[in-house]
Amino acid sequence: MNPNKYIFIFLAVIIFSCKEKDIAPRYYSNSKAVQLFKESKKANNDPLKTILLEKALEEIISEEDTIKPFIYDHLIYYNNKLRNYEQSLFYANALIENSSEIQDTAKLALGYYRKAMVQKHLDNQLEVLKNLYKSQNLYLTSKDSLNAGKRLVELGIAQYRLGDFNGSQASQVKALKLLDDHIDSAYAVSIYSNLASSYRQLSDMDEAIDEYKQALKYTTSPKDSLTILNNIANIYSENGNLKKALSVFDLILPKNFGNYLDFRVADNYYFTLWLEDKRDVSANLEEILYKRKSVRDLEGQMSSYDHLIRYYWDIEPEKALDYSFKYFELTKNLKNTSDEKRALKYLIALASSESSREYSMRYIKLTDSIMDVKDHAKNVFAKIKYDEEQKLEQINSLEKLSAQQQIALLKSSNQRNIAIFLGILIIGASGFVIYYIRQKAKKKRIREIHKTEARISKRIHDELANDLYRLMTALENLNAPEKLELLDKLEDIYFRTRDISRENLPVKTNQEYSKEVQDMLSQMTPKSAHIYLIGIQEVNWDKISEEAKITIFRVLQELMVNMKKHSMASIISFNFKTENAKLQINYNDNGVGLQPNTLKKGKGLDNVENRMESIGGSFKFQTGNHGGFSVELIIPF
Amino acid sequence: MFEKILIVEDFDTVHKSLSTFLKTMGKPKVDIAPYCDEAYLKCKRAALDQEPYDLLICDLSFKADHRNEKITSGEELSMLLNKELPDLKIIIHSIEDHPSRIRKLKPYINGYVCKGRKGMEYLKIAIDEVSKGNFYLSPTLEAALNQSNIKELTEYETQLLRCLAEGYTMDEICAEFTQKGLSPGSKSAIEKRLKELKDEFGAKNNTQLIGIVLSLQLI
Repeated sequence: MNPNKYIFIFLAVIIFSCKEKDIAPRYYSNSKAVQLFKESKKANNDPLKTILLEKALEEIISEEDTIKPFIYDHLIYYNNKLRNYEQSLFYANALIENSSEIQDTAKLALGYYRKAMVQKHLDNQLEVLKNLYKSQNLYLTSKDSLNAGKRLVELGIAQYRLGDFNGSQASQVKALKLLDDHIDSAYAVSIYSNLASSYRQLSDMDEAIDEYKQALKYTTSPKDSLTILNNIANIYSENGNLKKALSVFDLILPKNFGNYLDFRVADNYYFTLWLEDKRDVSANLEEILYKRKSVRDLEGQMSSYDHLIRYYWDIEPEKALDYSFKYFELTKNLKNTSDEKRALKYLIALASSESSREYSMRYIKLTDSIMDVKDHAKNVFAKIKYDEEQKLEQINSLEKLSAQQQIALLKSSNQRNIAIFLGILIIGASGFVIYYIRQKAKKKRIREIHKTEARISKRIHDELANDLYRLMTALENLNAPEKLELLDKLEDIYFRTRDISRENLPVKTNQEYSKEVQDMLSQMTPKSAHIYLIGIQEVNWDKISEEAKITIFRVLQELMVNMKKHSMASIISFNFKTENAKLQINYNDNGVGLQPNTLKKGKGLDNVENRMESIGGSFKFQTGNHGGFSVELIIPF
Repeated sequence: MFEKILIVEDFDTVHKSLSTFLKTMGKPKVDIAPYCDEAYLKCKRAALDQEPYDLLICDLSFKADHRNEKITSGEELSMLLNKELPDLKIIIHSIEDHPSRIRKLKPYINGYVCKGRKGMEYLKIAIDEVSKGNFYLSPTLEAALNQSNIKELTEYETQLLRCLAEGYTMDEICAEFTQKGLSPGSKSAIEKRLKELKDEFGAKNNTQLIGIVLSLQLI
């Protein structure tokens, strides 16, 4: 006998009764399907409802019609109600197909749940298991822990039915965690009752009673409380704690019989009484059986037979055997294997040895098949779980892979950025190095030029000029008539030589530079002329590079040579100004200026321009209408 | 006059003509040293023998040859001898005319004559001047060293020219100068300076003066 079954049926009723409220479809207006759906709701009988719903389904063209899942759901419900389970199964499959097509995870989970319930009606426990498992998994992935928890509760019950008590407990505990604070009383009762039943099956009676007491806390109806207390009393009774069992029964014993629950409590109560003091309870037990028969309480009848067999076992074995036959037949009709096993046990012991053998064979076969079913259930569930987990893992690994690819992509783009950065850095650095080398080479070249100039200057001065002087001296001592003329010419050569030397003299770039410049300018100024130097004392020569200093010196020298050659100027001026990190030097004279036909710069000015360019400076010159010549030099610091 | 003269000169033609020239000046004893080291030793020797040289006529640059000379230039020799034999008079006779080189050497010598066509003439004057205890520079060097051809406008002159350029009358300039405390501020003093400026720039009148000064970017 299995009193817990009543809980399941009861709960199933609760769940199904909630269904119509749960469905809150978003209608499409102006649609025939919606109209028919509404009509189906108003229809007063279930066959008409299903016909209208089927018509509504026919009107729907698009798979993505949001009303479609609701029509399927209703069709499943009413076909279940009409016991058209094959039809329900068809629509459950259709719901699953539709939801997976429109990728609605919540609806898909619902589809599997509905399918599980249909399979429950068709008594395909493994299918129930499978579909519930899928449903709860889908609810979990869509983060609907409430529904996932509920499906787990039902899964636990299904596992219990298949004899996987440990598995059942695991599911229930998981359900408890998921439902957590949002647990509703019906589910709490179900969970704790189921846990208790599992403990009971695993022969852990104390735990079983604790769980039942836990379940009691959540009960909201006297029915639930009665059922649980009955179970608790039964556990005490089975464990030989008859006094405690009776004290519980005393609390719940009905005054008069109303329903199957009253029969159950009374049946258990009288049986326990007999266990306690072997008193005659035959009349009570027989009465309950009679009443159960009258209300067609088949489950209850099995329980009555069980008790009666055991009551008559010793005192009236014939009666016991008779009830055993009846019990056996009933269990066969109800396909209740655990009760059938019990009935067979009784028959084996009570029947004649010949038929006993037959019953034994059947018992063994049944036990094997029960074991097979149990093992199969466990295996199948394990496989379902494994398959689902594999699928999940595949999805996860795919996600991981794509994540890794993204990271790799990111990395590679990072690497690319770094490469670009490095490239730019290298190009920049090499550009700088090239620039530096070039600048260095340029400086070196300028320095080289200055050195060469200095060397040439020294040689001209020390060798050529000296030799000329010696020649002049020697000539002076001769008594030749052409002596004077020759001496004049030689002197001219001598002075020119000295000038060339002077123009290329090494320039001191230290503190004496300013003085050097003034010396040179002074020396280059013709006797008949004056030179004005303005602002030369204020120039901060330290800011100007050695190369630039020498170049400036040479440029000024060049200007002076040019002036001496062509201008016939009497006043020359140099204006030194420092502005915006630049040195500006303006040369002016009051000479004849450039003649129109010699507007082309001479070699000297070309030199000036080249020299200025070599230090990144600029050179401009102009000549006035009434003579005069001016030059502007700009040298960057 | 100098009794004993040492010529430091590495070329025959030059020191021959020099000694010929010197002998026309009262026949002093003239010795020749073609190298600086030799000149130094001769001077020291003479000093030790109580017969020191009175005058050293020295070139600056000497052509280097196989000898490993300790003293390689007239500058070094002059500085050394000036320090060790302060009574010895030194006249540099060189084609070198670079002012900074001469300026550097000036404290250690008594005269500097640039070689040239009129070199001997200047040398004669130099010997005269130095024997009198004076310092002598040949004329071109004198100008270069003193930079007498480098002019500058004083603050006074600059202000004066600026006032003129801005069209001030003489009276206004006077008032301005008096106010700024530039002296002399009197009209006559200012006019005198203005005339000097006109002479200096070769200007016939004030307008031309300003034109010249402006075109030369002096103000």
